[in-house]
Amino acid sequence: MTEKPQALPGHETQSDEMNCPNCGRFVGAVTKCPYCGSKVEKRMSLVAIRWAAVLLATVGLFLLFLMAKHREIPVVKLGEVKATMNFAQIRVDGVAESDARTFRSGGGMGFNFSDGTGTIMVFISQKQAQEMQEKNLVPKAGDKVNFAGGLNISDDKSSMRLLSVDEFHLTRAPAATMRLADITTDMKGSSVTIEGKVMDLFPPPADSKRPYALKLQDASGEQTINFWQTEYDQIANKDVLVGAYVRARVSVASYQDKLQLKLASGLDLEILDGPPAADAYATPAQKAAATYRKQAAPAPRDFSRGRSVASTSLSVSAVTPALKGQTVRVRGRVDSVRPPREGTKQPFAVVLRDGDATLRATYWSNADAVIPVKPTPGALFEMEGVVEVYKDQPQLQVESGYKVKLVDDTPASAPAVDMSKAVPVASITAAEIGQTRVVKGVLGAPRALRGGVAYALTDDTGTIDLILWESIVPAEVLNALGEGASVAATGDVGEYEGKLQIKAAAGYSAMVIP
Amino acid sequence: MKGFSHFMSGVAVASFGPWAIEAAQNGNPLFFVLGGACGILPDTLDFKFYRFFYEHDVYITPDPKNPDPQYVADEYARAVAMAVDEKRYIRVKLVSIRLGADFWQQYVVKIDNDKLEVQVQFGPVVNTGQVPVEGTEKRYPTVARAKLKAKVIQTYDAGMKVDIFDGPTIGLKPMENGDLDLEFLPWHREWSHSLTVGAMLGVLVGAGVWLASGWTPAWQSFVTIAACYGVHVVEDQLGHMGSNIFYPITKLRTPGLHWMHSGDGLPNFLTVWICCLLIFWNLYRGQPAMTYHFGFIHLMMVGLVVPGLVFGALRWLLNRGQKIQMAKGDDADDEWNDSKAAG
Amino acid sequence: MSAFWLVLISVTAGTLISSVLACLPGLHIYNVMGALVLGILALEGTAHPIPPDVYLPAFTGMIVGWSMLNTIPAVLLGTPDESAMFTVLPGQKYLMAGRGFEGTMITAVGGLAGAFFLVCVMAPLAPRYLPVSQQVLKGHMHWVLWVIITFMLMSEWPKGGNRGPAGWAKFYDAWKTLLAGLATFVLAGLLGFILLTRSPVNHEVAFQNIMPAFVGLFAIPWCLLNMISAADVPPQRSAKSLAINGDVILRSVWSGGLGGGIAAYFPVVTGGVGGMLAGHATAQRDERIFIMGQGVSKFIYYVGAFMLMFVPGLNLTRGGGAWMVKALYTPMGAADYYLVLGSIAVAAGLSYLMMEPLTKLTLRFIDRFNYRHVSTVALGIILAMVYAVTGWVGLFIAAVATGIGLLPVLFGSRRLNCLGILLLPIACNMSGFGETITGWLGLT
Repeated sequence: MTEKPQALPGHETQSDEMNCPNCGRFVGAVTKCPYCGSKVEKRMSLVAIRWAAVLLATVGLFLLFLMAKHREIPVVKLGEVKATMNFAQIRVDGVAESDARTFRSGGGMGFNFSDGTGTIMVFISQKQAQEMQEKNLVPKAGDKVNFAGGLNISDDKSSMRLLSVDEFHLTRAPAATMRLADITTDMKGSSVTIEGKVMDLFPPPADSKRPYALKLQDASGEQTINFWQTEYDQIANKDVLVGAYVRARVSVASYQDKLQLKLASGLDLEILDGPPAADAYATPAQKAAATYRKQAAPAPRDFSRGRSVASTSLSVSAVTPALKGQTVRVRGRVDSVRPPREGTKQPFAVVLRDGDATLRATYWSNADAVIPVKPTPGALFEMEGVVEVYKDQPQLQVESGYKVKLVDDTPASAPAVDMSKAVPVASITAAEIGQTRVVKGVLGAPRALRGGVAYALTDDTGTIDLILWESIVPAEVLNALGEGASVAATGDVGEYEGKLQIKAAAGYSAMVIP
Repeated sequence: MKGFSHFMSGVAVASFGPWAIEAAQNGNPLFFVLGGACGILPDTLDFKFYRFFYEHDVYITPDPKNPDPQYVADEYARAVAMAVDEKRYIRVKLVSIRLGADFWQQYVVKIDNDKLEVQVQFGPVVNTGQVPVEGTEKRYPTVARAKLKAKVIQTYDAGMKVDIFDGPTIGLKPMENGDLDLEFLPWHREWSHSLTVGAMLGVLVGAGVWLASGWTPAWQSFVTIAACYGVHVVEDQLGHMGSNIFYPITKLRTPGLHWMHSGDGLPNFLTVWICCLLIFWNLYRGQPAMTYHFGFIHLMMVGLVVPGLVFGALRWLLNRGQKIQMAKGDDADDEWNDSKAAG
Repeated sequence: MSAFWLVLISVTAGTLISSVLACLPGLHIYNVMGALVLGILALEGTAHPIPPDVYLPAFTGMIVGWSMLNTIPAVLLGTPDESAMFTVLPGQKYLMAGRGFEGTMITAVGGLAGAFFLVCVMAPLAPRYLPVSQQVLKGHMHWVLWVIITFMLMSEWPKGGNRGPAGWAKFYDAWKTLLAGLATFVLAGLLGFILLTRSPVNHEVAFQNIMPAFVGLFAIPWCLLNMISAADVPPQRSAKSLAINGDVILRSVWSGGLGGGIAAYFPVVTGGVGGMLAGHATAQRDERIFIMGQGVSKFIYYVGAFMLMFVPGLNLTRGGGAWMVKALYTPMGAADYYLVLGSIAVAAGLSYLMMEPLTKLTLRFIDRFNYRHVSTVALGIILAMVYAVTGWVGLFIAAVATGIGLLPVLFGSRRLNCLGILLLPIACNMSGFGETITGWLGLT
């Protein structure tokens, strides 16, 4: 075989150094010929580039690492944040505007942060949240915080992601020592220190989603402190809790106009050696500090980026057909919430009320999915959307879930369930499927569903299943229910495997009857 | 089957373990990674480890500067003669011919048992994508021949092609009637493709996990590894070549069911796609609070049957009146070439 | 001017501009879009703000035009972005065989087929099915990434060990390339951890903090190798027929759609990874299908990812384009979706029409100028761009990344391993132990 093959395409000008100088065969990038074992000298540029690559990839990377490691993360005011800073790691210094909330899915946490020039949502991963709970670093409203995080800037909702718990510095807001009788719902959102004797501790029944309840008594009266299993596990010497004198830092909240005291961390509860000193209670100045709220913060940064939105919220009555096509921000109490019927493509419909005026606001399921706190009847909400007119009436078309914001979750008026409309269970028939009914009765044993719970609700006339989905019924409502409780509930009549049921409506659709 | 099909099968099998889904929901991807890795592991062991330690009796190494088919034919015939004369198993390595950074000289070795000869022809120069370089097809028209001392029985008629990267190994095994049985890639689908080896691997890893983390993750690891490794062996059994299913209890490959060739496009794609749907279904079942609800039949209709019918109908419309020729292949050859072509 | 004409003019302008820009080697359209975003933000609050009706169609046109026409420099000038690495290999073979025109046009047909698939098949189904799959998969993205990484690393073929007797020497010879691949992946991953956790790039331009690394990993090594390699581009010829039929197109859409779809839908997975997975899944061995499939894949990857942001009920932010637009605008229901779909359709048609003249123009350019000089100029442009946006620090990052990007080329492993820069840190972060690793490294 002596034919001399012509050069292959692309090989016409191929360098000789690709071939062995001794035997002439192609050897590529190797330095020793695999055919005859001869040393293959490479062009200087190729040798140099190979060494340069290895050096840059190792030594260069190490130097870059040192540079990054020793670089101070810049402190930035939120008001100076620009879109080009997206993904930047910055340090901020300011105040937690809200208590950190644990998310239903994923186990992470989030809180609103303000540094006086702007406000931003801060996300904390599940692992970080656990570490923060262990170290009692979970921020509460009013706490001073300083941390480094990664910026995520978007048109309607910018956020930060905490970089590291080690970089999170927290100074608790002052919490005055108060007598139990002096704590009122007016102090909602503030933190106070209380002292007293533990009269009893009620763990939640097995398989229930209720919190622990600790009954505390001082000279002025008695109150219940609520907390979850995680916090309970953190309490030191919890075996001797009942009968012991304790000091606890709690946050004041309310549910259905009733005072609630919440323990955010088990580390906030300390068992005392004996009864607390009588003069430990708050002076007027301390009381003032206890009701500490952020003072007149500068206007938060407007992330709407120039869209024609009114700078302040309109009242419900101010939204008229004349505003058709305009983007407005409206504030009102939620009158009703109607989620789309199963199998339909209807939007969510929320009726906002302000006095006698009402406004129907609608948004799609995708918007609902991102609403951090879902609208519930009675709560004060602010929504931004485009005004549309239907049958001469204005409606608000909300496009983004981030434009639905809770202002105040205290129901302003009557409870969500109108008991006067309660119907006997036996009167509900299959013909009423899809219609809303109010029922009243005693709950049977709970049955866990995927994503919810079912109770058999019995009244004098019969029994019907009450279905409560976690995705639409607030956790407080679910936690308040239990076997043997007398409740009133409202929801649509449904049917499952031939049995009628009441599917509790979204929001505060079930309540315990005192 | 191709590596990716095995890999996805492993992931799909892992997804049937509720512990895998639960772990994944808590940020632990290990069971799924283990599933995929064990799904492809038998081939990895063969192609990336064992073959480099496999000894050969005859190395047929054509010279890139002077590609001589007669040399190849003569060496092949010498190997056959060795097997016949010495009455032992002879392992032959056909070495590839590299011509340039992206060019390989292809050659084909074909056995003609009627004439009792081996025929070798140098084909086109191909690139690493195994596509012939234009103008090189007819550079070597000569067909070299050499007489064989015995018939060499192989399971398919096609010639053995040697081109990119590594060349294949063949085993010549003397049979009682004097013929030689040709085994393509004799180092492949031997000990590594065994259910017992998969189970043993599961026990080994499980024992390590038991020592480190206790009983529950240990048995979960064992089940995941054994099942995902096993599904590879079972899938390979659907082809022609088969596997040595219970090594070391069994010593030989059990022939496959002949349902498909391992390189066939459609069965491979269907395997991957069905695995994706099964994984999706298992994830859906493990999801605590779904807003959307659907059944298994619904998923299969939407994800498999309807798109499949539409694709089939379109293909039929586009190919009406045209004759589509499907290349005949062999399991080992398909796997060998596909693995190499994948880079 | 009515909204219709405004949108049409915007999408046409965006497509034409990006079609021309796409022919410049090394310039990524996201860099251009980044500059435009800055301009739009600067005009907000002034008397002449740019409305979304103008910039949304324009951006759509830019992404579409670029994803179609970037094939020209990728094939003819050899400066691919990372997602083009699969196109480039066979495409460059076409170039070296004097069939560069054919290679680019086959890819363009793939892009057009991808546009049809996206607008006519994916778009109507997406609002119905993608929210469902998103709800199922959203908690599982992390292990999907890990599984992809595992396959990527396990499926690399050892390229040595072809000669000599059995034993450790042969094993080592074979594993040299695999070890180089693993080293590349790990080093790129470490670089990713540094840049994503504590980037030395000035925080004022942090939105581009990964850009110098990408340029270094993919564009600079290609330019350098073009400059030092001795290969010359042979004379090119135009083809009268592309030798493709409906079946080839269908099978290309099948494989490319799958690859591009995976890359568009899953976070961090890029077109290159999607192409690799699709190649393995669909077992296509025909080089025409391969090239055309990569055209489909690239289109679906870039444009599909952008489209996901507008799918009603989904609103997924995927890809650099979507992340940039997110800083300007939040999609608002079906109207925006149709706006974007219409823009995609118009832009795809326009950019396909631009393909032939621009390819011929580029071929004439190559004919006139030395290939190596073109690569040198391209390298100059790239370095100038990195310096202009991120300064000396950016150049330093690009230099380190170049070192890593050269390893696979010089040691014979897959360039895909460079994607460890995103895959490794983000998979670790999504699984919840990224912070543990950055803690070990002393970065947090």
